[in-house]
Amino acid sequence: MTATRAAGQAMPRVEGPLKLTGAARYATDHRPDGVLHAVLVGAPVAAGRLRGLDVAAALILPGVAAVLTAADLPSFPELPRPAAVRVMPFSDDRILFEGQPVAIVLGESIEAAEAGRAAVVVDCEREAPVLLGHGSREAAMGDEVVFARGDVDAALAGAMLSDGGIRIEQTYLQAPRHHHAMETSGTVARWDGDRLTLWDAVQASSTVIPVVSAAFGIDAADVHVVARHTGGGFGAKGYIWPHEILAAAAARVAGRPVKLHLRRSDQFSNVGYQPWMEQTIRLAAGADGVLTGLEHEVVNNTALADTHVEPATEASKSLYAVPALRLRQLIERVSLNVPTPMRAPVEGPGLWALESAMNELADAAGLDPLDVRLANFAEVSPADGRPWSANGLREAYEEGARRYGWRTRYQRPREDGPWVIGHGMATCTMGSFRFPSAGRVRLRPDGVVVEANVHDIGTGVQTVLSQIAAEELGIPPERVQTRWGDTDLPRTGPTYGSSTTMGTGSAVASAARDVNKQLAELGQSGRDPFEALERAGLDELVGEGTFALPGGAQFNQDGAGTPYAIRTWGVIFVEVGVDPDFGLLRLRRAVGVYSAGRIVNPVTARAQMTGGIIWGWGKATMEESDQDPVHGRWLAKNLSNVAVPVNADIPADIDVSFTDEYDEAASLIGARGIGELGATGVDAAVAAAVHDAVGVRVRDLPILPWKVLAG
Amino acid sequence: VSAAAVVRLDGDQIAAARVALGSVAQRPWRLGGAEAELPGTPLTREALTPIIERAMADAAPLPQNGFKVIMARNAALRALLTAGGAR
Repeated sequence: MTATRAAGQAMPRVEGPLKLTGAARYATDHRPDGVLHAVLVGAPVAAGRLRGLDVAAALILPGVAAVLTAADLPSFPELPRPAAVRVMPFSDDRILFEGQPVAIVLGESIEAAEAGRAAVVVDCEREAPVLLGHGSREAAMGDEVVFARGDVDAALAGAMLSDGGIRIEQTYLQAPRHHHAMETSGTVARWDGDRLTLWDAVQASSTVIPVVSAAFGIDAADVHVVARHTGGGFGAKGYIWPHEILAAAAARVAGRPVKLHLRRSDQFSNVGYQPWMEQTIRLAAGADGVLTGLEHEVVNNTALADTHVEPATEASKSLYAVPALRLRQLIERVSLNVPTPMRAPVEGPGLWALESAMNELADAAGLDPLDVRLANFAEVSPADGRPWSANGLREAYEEGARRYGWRTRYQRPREDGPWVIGHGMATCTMGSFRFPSAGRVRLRPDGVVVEANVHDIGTGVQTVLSQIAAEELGIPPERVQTRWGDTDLPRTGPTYGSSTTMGTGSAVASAARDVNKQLAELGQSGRDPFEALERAGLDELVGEGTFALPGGAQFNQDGAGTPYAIRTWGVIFVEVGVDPDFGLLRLRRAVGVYSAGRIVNPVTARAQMTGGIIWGWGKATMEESDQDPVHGRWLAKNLSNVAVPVNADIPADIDVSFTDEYDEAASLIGARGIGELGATGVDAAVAAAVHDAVGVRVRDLPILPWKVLAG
Repeated sequence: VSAAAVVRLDGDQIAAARVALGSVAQRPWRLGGAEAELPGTPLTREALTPIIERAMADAAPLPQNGFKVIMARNAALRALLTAGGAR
């Protein structure tokens, strides 16, 4: 067999031409015969009761087929996870957030449906909404303290008494922010008798089935979901949202297929967002910057009825070696729709607080922030003492510092015209979320077909799966095609949690090895597989593969239940220009080095990390979804009033690299996850760079000009 | 905010200058008081700052946009210095 190393090589994405030519069909590009267009009528107030609806004016409009209210819809049971909400809208007359669906207008065209929506009169009893920062707080998961080790109070007290001891206590805020995927969420539903087909803009179509089948009380085998191309998600399409079920309900009532594609303004209230967060870090350290105690308290907003917990304390649990640790998680209930994970969840918010405090520690100790990180490096998992499966963080620190010129940063000019230059850094880390997956490899005379129900969300998954199959079979990746995006295909984990390459990649590798094994059993090993197939006289040989988790679990975090703790790491260095006259910020360059196992495709991996850094810059300096202080609704509900990074904001000099690793404990193919890692740490590094430049410490994201000027 | 300025120099000093702010009111906002004070002033940030600050003294920001007064002051200074060739 020719020794082909298809994986690990740069390969352009195979789905590129499909997208470039417009041939890629997204969920709502599908138009089954007789389809009706649905739009949701939202509650005009953020709190109160629905008194009534007058739909007469809507019904007489041309093209309006029906207006559905609670009386027309089935009563839904409590939804199972991973539904984003427990109780469906339309279940009672309480209004818990502005935009909560109260009616569905069905039209022969989208224009007719929109006209109908404008004509529906919603009569509400208005109450005062609960605003962010003013809701009631409660423990997020039973006990407020979710993890404790050692005596944090003694460590904090000791730092005050000891010579040179340092104590940092600060609160870090971040604004709510929406995912703003280019493709808004949408679902096309068609019933054929009791069988339901959904074309759905989602990140995990296999998890749609149990939720939708429970919602309608039908057999899971009767739900079929097609989700091939997804136009970005970033978490907003991860869980199952009410509009997916409402599309199917409307189709059942109408007796015709229904398309429900959320308008941009509908997206704000009908799917989630990253919550408003208030995090307090209390840390104690010696004069050498070595941590002796750490407390991390997290509050995130959630909805009045539904609960989302953003477990940002995971960052403090798992990053640094610290003898005394106490972690608290709280939620605050307000009159908004329920938040949801968003790139990067968990450690994303957590590192904003922890890494900002570490930078403040370095300044207080008069130490280089890189040295403070090195002094607190965790040789084993701080959470439970297990050894790491692989950990290239120290190597990443060293390589990143070398590439950035970190140690010589103050030997370079500190100003460039009106721009004062600052330097900042932070550690990056994410947990490892692993999901069981299956894959199939079909060896045929004219090529190889990989089958796995993944979604093309722009990360290049088909390309990577092709490379993995090609490597195992010893053929060029161009001979591999992928069939994906259909629940009739082998079930994989979700397209979130930085998990696909580990899970599905391993399953596909395993399926290819099954093909090799069968060829060997036919006495055909050691040959080109196509030649072997021909010699064996077969038209097709099918290999099946799986990626299973310890104990047959459906989810595994950080290698729980195995001898090794599995996580990813990295470091981000940023050079930021600050114009002190106006508080303007410019990203001048960035260096990121990541430890994430084997990198299957350097091109698509680099693109993901670059995107993560840009995503982080947006979080650090621009993105904010405000709650109207009077009406309690989302203030800006369109993209023109939402600042996100554009090309002009981003320099060409973003230097991304990876440490050389092969992590056989994480996956069959040596890979860990990367998708979210690149977005972590950037905010804290940017805040440190602003402080380095002009001496202003902003602890409230985003770092807008007025906050720099106010400092 | 934005600012625009015209500066005529006499050596190192301003002979005549005009300066106006944008995006601070419903129309461009001429800093007439400052224009009267500027002739004879050296084209340096230190010398210009008190004059522009006096011109901003009557600015009445709303509760959440006080930063605009700082921005407007700095924009006027930057415009004068740039127009005069000082930076």
